[in-house]
Amino acid sequence: MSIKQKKESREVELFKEHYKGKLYRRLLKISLTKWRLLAGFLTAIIITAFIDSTNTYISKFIIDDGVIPGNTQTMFKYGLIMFALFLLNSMAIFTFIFCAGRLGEHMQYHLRKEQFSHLQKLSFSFFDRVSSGWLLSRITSDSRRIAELCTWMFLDMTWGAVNIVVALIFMATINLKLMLVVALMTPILVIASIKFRSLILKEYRKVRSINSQITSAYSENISGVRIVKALNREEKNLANFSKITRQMHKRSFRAGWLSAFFLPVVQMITTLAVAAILYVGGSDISTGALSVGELRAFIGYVLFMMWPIENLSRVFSEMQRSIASAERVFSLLDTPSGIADRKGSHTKANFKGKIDFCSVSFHYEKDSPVLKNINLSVMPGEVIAIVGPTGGGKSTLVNLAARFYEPCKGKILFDGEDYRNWTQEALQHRIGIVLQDPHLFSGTIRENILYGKPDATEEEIITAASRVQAHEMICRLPNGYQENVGEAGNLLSIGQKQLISLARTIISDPDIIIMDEATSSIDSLTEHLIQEGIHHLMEGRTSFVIAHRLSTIREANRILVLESGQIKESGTHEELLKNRGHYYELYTSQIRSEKSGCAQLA
Amino acid sequence: MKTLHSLIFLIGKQKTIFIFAILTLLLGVTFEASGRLVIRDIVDTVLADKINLTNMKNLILLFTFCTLMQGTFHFISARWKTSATESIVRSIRNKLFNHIQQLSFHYHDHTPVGELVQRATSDVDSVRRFYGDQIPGILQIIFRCLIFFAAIALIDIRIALVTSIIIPVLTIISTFFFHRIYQAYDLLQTCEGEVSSSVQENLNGIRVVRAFAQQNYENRMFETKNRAQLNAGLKEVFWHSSYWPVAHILCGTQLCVSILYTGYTVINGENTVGTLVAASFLFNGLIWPLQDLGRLITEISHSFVSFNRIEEIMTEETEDTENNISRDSTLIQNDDKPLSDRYKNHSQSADNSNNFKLPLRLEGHIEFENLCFSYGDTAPVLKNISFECKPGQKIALVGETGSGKTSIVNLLPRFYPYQSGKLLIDRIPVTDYPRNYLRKNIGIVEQNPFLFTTTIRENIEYGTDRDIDFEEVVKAAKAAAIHNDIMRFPLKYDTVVGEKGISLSGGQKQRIVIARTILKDPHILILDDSTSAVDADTEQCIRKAINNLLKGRSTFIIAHRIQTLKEADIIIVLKEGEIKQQGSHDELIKVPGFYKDIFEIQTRIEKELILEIESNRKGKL
Repeated sequence: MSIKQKKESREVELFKEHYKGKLYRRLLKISLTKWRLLAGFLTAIIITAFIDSTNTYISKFIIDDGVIPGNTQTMFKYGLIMFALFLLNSMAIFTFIFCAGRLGEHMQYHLRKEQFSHLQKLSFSFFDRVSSGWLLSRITSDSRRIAELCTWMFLDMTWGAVNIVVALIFMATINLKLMLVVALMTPILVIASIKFRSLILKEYRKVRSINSQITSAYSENISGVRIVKALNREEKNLANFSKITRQMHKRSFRAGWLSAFFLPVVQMITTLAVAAILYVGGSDISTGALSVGELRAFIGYVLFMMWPIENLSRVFSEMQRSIASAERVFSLLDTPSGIADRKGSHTKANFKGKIDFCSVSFHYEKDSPVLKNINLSVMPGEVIAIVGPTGGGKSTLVNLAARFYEPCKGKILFDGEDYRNWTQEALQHRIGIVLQDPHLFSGTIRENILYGKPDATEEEIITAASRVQAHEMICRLPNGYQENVGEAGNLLSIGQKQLISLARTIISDPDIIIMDEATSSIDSLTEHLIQEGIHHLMEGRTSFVIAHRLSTIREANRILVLESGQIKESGTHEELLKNRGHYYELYTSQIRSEKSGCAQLA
Repeated sequence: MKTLHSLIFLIGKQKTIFIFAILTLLLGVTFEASGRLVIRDIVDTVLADKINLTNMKNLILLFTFCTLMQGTFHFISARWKTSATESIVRSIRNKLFNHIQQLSFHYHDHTPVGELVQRATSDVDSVRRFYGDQIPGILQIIFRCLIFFAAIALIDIRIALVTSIIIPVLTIISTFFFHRIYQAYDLLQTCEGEVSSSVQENLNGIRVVRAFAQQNYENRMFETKNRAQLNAGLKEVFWHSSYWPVAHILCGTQLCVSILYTGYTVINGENTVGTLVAASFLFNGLIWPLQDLGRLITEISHSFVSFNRIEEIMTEETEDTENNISRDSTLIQNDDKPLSDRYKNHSQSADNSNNFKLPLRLEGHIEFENLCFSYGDTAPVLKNISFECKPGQKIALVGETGSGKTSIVNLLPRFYPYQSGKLLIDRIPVTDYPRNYLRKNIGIVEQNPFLFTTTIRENIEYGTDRDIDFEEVVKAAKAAAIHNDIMRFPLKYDTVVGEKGISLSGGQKQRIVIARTILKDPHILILDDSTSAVDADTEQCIRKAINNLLKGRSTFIIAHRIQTLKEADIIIVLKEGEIKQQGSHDELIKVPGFYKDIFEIQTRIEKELILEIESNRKGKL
């Protein structure tokens, strides 16, 4: 099983476990927040369903009481009633579209808002497990489906049901025998329609999945177009693509004709019923048991019946999916945020920068400890470099220090007090975190620096940029601080992004710095600038650095060698080299490959 | 009008089926009208003083027959329509896919991927709806208007005329409203896109958000976008809720007027009761579908826009990979010849005067002579570049970002055309070589290797167009020092990489690309030598792999490491598009200049450390 598959199945598991019933009640509760709209569209749709059935009945009076006896006045009277009903109906139509539409939009808005703000509270381990694409479709398409379920689908269902019932009542008043025939036929037709609809829906789902293959084929071939050209792959890629489009052709043709099959069939069944009614009714007319107007009304009812049936079957076949959407969204909202603020936590923080780890242990999954009994005391202003092999626990250690996770055992003290006594917000405002991948947000450079301190003045921005050696680089860009950085900052080089992320951190003037040093190699001059920037950033601040560069390590006050979750060695660069232990091994081998060039010079 | 013409032209080979689909649709509507006319006779028969039972039975059978025919023809029409539409769309998709991959590098540099994907998917889908929904939909309405009108006229021309008042009125009103509804809908789409991208961005940067404790700020930012979508949605709801009641009351009024007028004629003895009953069904069939007319008209205008956006791509000139006279193709050009045919044709014809017999193997002698180059109309990127690379030599390029290193190597496989000067490979100008010949013989290992979402094996075979047995793949992977890594993956060589599979580290990707290049066995090699930090052992592996690859090939290396620079035969130092210095490491290190500066910055720290370790060791001894 691939990692991705594992991830997906875990995503499903996550939500199967969490979710416990109460779905409909919860949907109702959301709808009831705008109960006027709900009541409005329900009333209006019931009125519409009544009128839709009544109009047919009135045409009976026009024929039987107006036209056949030749009574113009009565005919016009009923004509006027019919017109009045159309008028009333159009008002009802306005009301239900208006109310249901508004309710739907408001529900979507609230669901999006709730989910988004909930996501801001969830722990990092949640985001490690769940992909952003998955979350995005919860917020967009699932929210829309829930809103549709509570508005249009509910509306269609009500209309269909009321319409059928009212029509049957009218039919019963005309002719009970004929009505019974129709009443028996209806449920069979509805159930058969639902089954058939579900089949069509399944076909369309296959079409959609091929369609997404087409989209990803396009996007991959276009993003990789340079490689495609460089490797002369055009012909083969077209052949592969053509295979997918052939599949698409096949599938969507099948789905297309199956759904084209549906309406004619329902239509034909209803007209067969009409023929039967004509036959039976025709002889009834000659015996006087049925009037022409009544026959016409009856045929009108039966012919119209296919629409509520169509509606009901559509709603029922699509409902399952919408309910699944609702389940996913609610369980996302129910996912507890990993780290909660304690009651009565301090909301303001200011640290001197003394940090203590007291017997801290941590694991992501039980039975596989990541950190074991870490004890560490850091003095204000001390720079701690953390080194060690991948998987040794370096990132976990700094994530704990930043309180992205909390220790499973033990305590972390800031200035001698458990850091859980502060709110996360207060705490993280005083911690400056520089990530390995310097993620920027789309917008200008200025906006990105402002992210560290939203109310900073122009002067502060420039000072911050200058202190990390970014100012000159920024000024050289065509638009200076107004330069657009593109999506995720991708219009800038990695080096430029790193400098800006340093500026963003230094402007927030944190008491504690936590840094995962970047590893990707960039040209030597920019690298030099970044080194100096980092140096300025750490000046006088307690700092934890996952270090990769020798210069950073050498300048640290203390180096921790972290291996399999434990601190194997700690001390200054010189001390550790003298020890000839893990650190010596790690670093002599690390530079061995680069050594040859220098050694000769030395 | 031109767009409509092109769209109709595109039907191409599907013309017959499409016309049949329309004809059967016409038949379906005709039978629908006929069935309703039969009802008149039935009612009149029933009302006759002496009821004729056999006559009535026959009429009912006729009615049943008409409706059965109506359903059958509607179904057949829909089936043919779907078949034709899907074929047309498939051919558009294939042509577009091929055209996009043939467009020049310059075009791709200036067109965002998302934009192209958007056009290739949603715009194509909109064109699909043109054939599949809009044309049949609008034709059905027109047919209904005509045939139902004719059917009513058959009964009484005056009733028909009275009933057709609604047609122009509703056409105009519904077009007006749907124009507004679509504007609102477009706005809603835009807003929804913004909401999505703001969620996406927030999730991608969630660690930064937390690091700066900016959750509240993010919530506020999202609130603006979210509210914008709400308002756009409400606006769309407003226009819908205004249109449908208006349409309903118009149709209702028309229905009342028509029925009452017909009833009046019946009372006057001009028509039969059966006429009234039949006509009332015909009215319903004529009037209500008109409500949709505005929607179809508006959607068609949107499909036109989509189609033009696709045509825009198709009229872009493609890169000619075989040294043919450049062809400009459009969607409507009916060129279904596969690429391979065109290629064969070319290799046989020798009418191109520049043509010469392509050598089986390039020696790898490369010469730049006073070459100048710029991307499009921008400032020159390379100025007066001159140097020579003898077969098998290693050329290292150094310089800051933007100094022109990548531009130099991009000229070799003719990714871009240069403006002046000369670039000769084996003493023949590169422009005389077909692009695909050059690309077949030049191997490239980039800084950010791009792998395709498929198995590792296929990724390694990707650049080679002959049949390869598995052993060769393994051999290449071993030479690239990636074999052991691959064997640790769950499905070994059949493991899928990328978004849907496992994610590889930068170093692993790079070595897969090296394996791919080894298998491709190019005569000239371009290498972007920058590995992200990996542990020392892997670093050694990569170095070995690269050295395996370099043997006996003319190589251009974009260098970042001293070791690479030292091993090069010629180092070319670039600054702002000009060659500042060139020579071997030993030569350049002796003269003060740019090379010496970067070299010193880069080595100082390491040098100190080495000395330190050395002295430390001596101290211990």
